[in-house]
Amino acid sequence: MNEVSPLLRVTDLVKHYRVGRRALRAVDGVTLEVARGETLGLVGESGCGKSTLGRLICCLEPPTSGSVVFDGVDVLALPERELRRMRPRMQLIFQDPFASLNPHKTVRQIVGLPLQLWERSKGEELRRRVDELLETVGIDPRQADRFPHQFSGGQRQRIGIARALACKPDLIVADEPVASLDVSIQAQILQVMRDLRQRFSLTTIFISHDVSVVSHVSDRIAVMYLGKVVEIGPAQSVIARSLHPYSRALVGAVPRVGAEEGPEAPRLKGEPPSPLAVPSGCRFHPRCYLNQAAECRQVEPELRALAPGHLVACHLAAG
Amino acid sequence: MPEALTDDQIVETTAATTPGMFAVLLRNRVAVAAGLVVLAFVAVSVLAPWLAPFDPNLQHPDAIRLPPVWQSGGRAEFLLGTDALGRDLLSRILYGAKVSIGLGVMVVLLTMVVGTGLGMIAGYFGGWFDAAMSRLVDVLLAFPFLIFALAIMAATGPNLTALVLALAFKGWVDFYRVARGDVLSARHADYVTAARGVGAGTAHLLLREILPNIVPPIIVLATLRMATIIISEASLSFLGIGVPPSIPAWGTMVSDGRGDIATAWWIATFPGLAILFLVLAVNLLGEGLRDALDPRMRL
Repeated sequence: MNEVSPLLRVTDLVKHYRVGRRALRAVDGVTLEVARGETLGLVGESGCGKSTLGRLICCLEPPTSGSVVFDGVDVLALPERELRRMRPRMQLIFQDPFASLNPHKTVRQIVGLPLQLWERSKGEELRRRVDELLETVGIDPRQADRFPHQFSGGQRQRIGIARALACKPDLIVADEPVASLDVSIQAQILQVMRDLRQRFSLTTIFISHDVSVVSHVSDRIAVMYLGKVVEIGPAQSVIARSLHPYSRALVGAVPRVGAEEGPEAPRLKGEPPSPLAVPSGCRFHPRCYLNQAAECRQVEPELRALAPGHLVACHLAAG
Repeated sequence: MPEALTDDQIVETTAATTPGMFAVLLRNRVAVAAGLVVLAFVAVSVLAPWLAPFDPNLQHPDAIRLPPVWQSGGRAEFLLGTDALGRDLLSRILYGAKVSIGLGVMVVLLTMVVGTGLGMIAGYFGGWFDAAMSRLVDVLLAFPFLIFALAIMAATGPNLTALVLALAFKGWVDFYRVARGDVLSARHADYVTAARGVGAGTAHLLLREILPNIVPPIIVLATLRMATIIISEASLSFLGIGVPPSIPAWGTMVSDGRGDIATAWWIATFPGLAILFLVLAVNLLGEGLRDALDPRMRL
């Protein structure tokens, strides 16, 4: 197997939902690669399609068009049986830990399911494996026979992570894993994820609306706006030298302790447009604060490299 | 100085023990009482041949319309009195439990399995099956039950198989609708997506992830339906087209006694009370079960 081939390659992925007669363009042509072992941060406002993209990548929803190549295999072309066999290798961590655990199953049943399915694990062996997994994520195994509602949000998220780990995944897509948790618990869960990533050499896609969280955990960052990736590159340079006006506004919106009021932290006007009516040309142009050229309103900008590995979709950006 | 609780301590205090479903059920005194009443009725229906003092169809020409034992004129061997043919009311009520409970259980089980199964399939897969079933259900709902049952029973004459089918004919629709609706909303729940994501198959998702979540409303519905079925059977028997006349049934007995209600109130009243108590107990038990089947109640 070729070591330099990316673990995941997403090409021109599109997901449109039909709303009445119109199309809601949740994901509108996303192309990206994730290398083995790296963490890609996916950041954007709510409603920009980042969660949908996460579900498409995990094959939990069929895309309208486009392809997902995982470890060299075009997973969308697989028959259902083969796809099922691939599923454990790509695991989604859900945003809402209260919805992602079946209220009628014990933690042991939930975490043990992948082991039963894929390793025919049972009896004492299954018990031991589940106990180990729970310990790994910091849950007391003596609580394994309880129901999800008996745990706090942070603990439930740990249980969700344990379930994902039970699959021995190559890729973890974490969809806002800390967004619904208290701030004090957020740091703990992020730490758990960081530890596990190193211990099991996981490849991670970390989805968040919070630039500061993403910048802490990611090797590379992709910025999404209205269903498209508008900028992607190494975390450092996307944060420090944002090329897209939208990214600059997002980064500028992060409050920093001690920092003087920045020279020009651009503020965005208004709400993002509805994905039911995507603007012509550059989809960011109605909110853009740069002096726009005519092509901004007419021609959709493609991603182009302005620095090594740093791509941006803006007519006006210059390296 | 009180310290903030850590995650683990909070869990210790709220969930030191995890009682099972039965423990919760037993804590509900009304449900326990109702359960005992239902059990008593079931026991009676099984043990009727040994409990009843007389054969239910045995006529005593010397004891026509005897009042219950505590009224003047009552006789000790006929505790609840006798009917217009001199048959012992107590014996007939004891035997009648078998028809009411047996038919109720049979019809409810049949409609529950059929309705829930079809509803889950329609709700999960949707498509042409769902569309076709929904139209069929609309048609059935527009069909007056009693008229239909009358037609069937009139055509076949009173016999038990036809009675079960007549009662089950529309009964499954309620289960279908509840199951379909609940599956429709559970299908896209995160926990179902998560189980699919770890590679569980359709059968597992339907039976192990979704089914446990729709069981509580189904159980409640089953008990409600049980009560309705018992009453429907009694109504059909009351109209003389339900249970064959050779089998004692409460509905038939109420019907037989209605002409004498002014002069011999007991003939219609005691079987009527039997219907009332059984239906009430079944309903109360159903409510207790609904609470007990919800794990969030097990604190």
